[in-house]
Amino acid sequence: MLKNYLKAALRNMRLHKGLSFITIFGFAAGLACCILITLFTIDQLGFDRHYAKAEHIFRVGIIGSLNNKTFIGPVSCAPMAEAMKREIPEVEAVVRFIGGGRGAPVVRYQDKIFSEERFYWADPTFFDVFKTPFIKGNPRTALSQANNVVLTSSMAKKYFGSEDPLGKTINTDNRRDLVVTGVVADVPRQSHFHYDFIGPLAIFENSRSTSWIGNNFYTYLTLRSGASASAVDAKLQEIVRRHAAPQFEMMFGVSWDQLRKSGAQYRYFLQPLTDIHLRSHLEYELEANGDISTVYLFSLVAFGVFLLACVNFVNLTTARAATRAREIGIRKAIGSGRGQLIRQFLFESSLTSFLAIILALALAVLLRPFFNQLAGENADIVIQGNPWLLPILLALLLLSGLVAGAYPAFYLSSFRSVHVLKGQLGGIKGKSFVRSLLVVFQFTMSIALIIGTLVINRQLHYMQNKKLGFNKEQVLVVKKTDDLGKQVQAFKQELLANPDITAVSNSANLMGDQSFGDNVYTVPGVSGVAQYILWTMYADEGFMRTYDIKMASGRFFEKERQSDLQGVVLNETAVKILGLTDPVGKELTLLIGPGGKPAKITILGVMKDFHYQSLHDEIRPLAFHWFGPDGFGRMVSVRFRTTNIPVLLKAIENTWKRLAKGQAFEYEFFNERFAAIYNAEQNTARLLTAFSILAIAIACLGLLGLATFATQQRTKEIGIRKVLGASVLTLSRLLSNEFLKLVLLANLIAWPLAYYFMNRWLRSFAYRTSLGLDLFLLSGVLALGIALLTVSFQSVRAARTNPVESLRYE
Amino acid sequence: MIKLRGIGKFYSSGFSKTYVLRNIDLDVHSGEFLTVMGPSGAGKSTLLYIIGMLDDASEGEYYFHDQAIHSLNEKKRTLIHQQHIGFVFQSYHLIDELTVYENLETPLLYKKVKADERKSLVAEALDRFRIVAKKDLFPSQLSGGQQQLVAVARAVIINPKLILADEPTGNLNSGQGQEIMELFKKLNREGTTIIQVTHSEKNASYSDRVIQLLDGWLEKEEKGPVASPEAKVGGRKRLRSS
Repeated sequence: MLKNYLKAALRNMRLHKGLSFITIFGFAAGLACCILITLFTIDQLGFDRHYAKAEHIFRVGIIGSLNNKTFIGPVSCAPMAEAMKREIPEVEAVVRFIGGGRGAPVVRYQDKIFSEERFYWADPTFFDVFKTPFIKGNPRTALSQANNVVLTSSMAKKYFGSEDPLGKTINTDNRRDLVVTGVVADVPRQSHFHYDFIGPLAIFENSRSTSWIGNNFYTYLTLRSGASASAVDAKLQEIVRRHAAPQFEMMFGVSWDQLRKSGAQYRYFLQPLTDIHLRSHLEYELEANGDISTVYLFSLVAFGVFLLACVNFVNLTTARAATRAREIGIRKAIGSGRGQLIRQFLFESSLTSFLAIILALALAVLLRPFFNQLAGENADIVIQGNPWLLPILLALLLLSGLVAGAYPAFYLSSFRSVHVLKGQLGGIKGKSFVRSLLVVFQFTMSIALIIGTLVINRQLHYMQNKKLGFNKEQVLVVKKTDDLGKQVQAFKQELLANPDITAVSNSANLMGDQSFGDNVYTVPGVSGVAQYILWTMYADEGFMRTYDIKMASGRFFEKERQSDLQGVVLNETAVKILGLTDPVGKELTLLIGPGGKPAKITILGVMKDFHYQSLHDEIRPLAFHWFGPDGFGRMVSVRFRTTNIPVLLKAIENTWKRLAKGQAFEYEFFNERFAAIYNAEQNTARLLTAFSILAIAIACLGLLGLATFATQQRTKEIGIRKVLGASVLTLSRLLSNEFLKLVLLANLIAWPLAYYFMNRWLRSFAYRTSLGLDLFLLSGVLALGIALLTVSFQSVRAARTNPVESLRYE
Repeated sequence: MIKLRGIGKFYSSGFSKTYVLRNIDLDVHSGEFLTVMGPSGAGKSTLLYIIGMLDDASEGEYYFHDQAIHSLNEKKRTLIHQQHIGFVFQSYHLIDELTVYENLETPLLYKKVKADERKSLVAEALDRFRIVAKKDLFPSQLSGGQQQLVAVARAVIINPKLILADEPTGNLNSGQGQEIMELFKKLNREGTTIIQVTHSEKNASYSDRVIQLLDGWLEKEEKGPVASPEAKVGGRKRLRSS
């Protein structure tokens, strides 16, 4: 029986090649999208699960708030790790480390010199928490000495080639020699942080600090099996009460309870390791994490596209009913029951989905590179050999066969054979309410997606063109200038001698950085708990000129005035928050100044507010401090006024080479670096654009198929109308109108829907573009135009056929 | 074999009912060869399809071998239909996508006949209707007469008690038509009950009994035995020449 069905189905497909192709291809496009997104979702959910006992590993984070300004970070204070190990029995192992961008050293081995971004400095217990297979060396003793270092196998290859790295000595920053005591496998991509080196944390003086107030260390712990995280969380708060509270009381001179009553907060919390990648977006993350909302968005889109594809399938299959009607009638006449017909058509749709899935797999393989690009930097899905592939394909096959096959099967099998057997092909109604509904659904989705794409792109355009309060163009950033040490002064001097360079500035941060430091300030003379957290930037005197930032009052730092080291420049928002009028010349207290003691500082000037963070956020209060003649920071910004970039780069590089002793010259253009803060939005925009195109393509394929059939069915009507004198134009209009009405209706549904969602999305930006009617009109016209083009292709052709032929056909 | 009592068929449109069949009482005995005649739109085909269980009557009672068809559900009706009834149509209605062999095999598949038995039944039918050479051709590759031959073979292959034929020779030339009618006569002599719908007096002459339908009413019954086919051929000739 199956063989009989199979033959009929395959031969029928061959008979209607074009339409079968449209059906299968449209379906395959949707399924390919589903395959890619499902693999992506699985990939994203699988982060950090490669560590043994991953579900027992947690990170300690801090929530601190003062005067309604809150800091939430993935870090904790120096003594926390030891206190937890000592006072919380559930804690099996705990480790602190610092690393990533901060403390990235230049590593030397013989003639090999590289600047290493992924050098981490950790407690000896690192591999007790992050159990990692050692290729060489002993995990238990590898970090036991304060001059040990463990590196990954690709680093071993990079520095030592085929030599045995164990026992060899590498040098960091010309300051410290470290002995290699272990080689581990490279950290898998699916990790929220990646190290190349693990050196000893003990070399940092502040790792022995007993202060509970500064939070500078990433602290991870393993809980014993069976231990409850919430119980440990409660014990963390007891630890704060025991150790941190006395220090706060001493610093502020008020009791802990009073501090708490005034709204201050200071609590630590646990983050499950496996949640970090998708659910943790704090300041000072080790690396840019993924985002669960992206995963949700992708999944939603996948589901939507899947529905679209199914809808298409249903539409095209039921539209083909007219051509199948005769077969259905005959089969009934020669003894087929309805159940057997349902089975036949379910089998047929399964066959179609099977073919579509094979095509989808090929498409997915083809589209994988583009998709990985769309999905952002930490996604890299593989298809070949993925253990999830087969289950996904089977699930999709089953689901699509059922979802897309059920309605056509019941619809087709319900035909009364009598009419068709009598030779009345017109017995099958051409219009179907369900089919129209499905077209409306498809176009609603397409239009909503187009509107979404337009809105996101407009917001991106708005953000890229908004006056930010500083000039981001024509600035080059030379990186890792802290390697120059105090030579940076000479470097700046030499650059300024170049006539193409108008200003230079050395700074610790730049606008658009993911995180800034912050400090607590108080206003003398104001009673009570009046502490304020202000974001802080450290820079030299050239910063304002280099970035073209305007002063509102007072002055910026000046090179000759040593006393400016005790000065601060605020932005307007900070002045407002501090509640100062006429602030220039007034004094503030920096709660933890040099040497950990409160220090008096003078307000030198006020800068006009500028957007130093993404436009998602309101401008936050900012305090500028001066490096002074001895300080230096990680980058030098160079403002230039030439279009001959290669010459400029060569000049800067030459200067760099002379001063930096062989270290690589690394640079980027500031505007590109700054644009990176909108990477997520750029990704979303690209994603939505791709899916809008896909959605409208699928919808149009469906429409094309439907139009083909509608016109086929109306051949006789068209012939009669032509005989009666209708022109090609009126006929085309007649045929197109029916579909255009549906697209118009889709517009009416899509607009409020898109308005609701895009309004919500826009509200996540403190500074945003407006949601103009023009976008809606444009999307509507676009969809209408595409639909018209699709349909008119068919209708014009039908309208131009010779009526004699079409009438004889009957 | 067939007993119709007060069978009516109507379509409602708005407030009015359009009757296609009205109050039909009809008995057909096993082994009978019955012809239904009448002008276009008289309800002949509708009556045939109701008897063939492809259509429902709007009112009345229908007994097939004393089984009350009008009160059976679709599934049971399909079962009776696929066991006992074969159909032959004016426009053959073979499945275009299937070969001659597969077309013959399909009703057996629905009847759930086992593979080896199916094979021998199809082979037998191919042989009997002398279409063995055509078994791998598609319907579109056959002439009308050949297609109708296959269609009859398909109707006969399940060894039905009843064959329903709707203008079986309507699309054929006279030679092909005669061949088909002879075939029916032969099947009828072998014991198969046949009901045919036709406009042709000549075809009617093959049957034992002719009933006339007009506007849905059963007009009159001509009780057989009718004249022999040979005599009727002459009659047809007269009709043509007039």
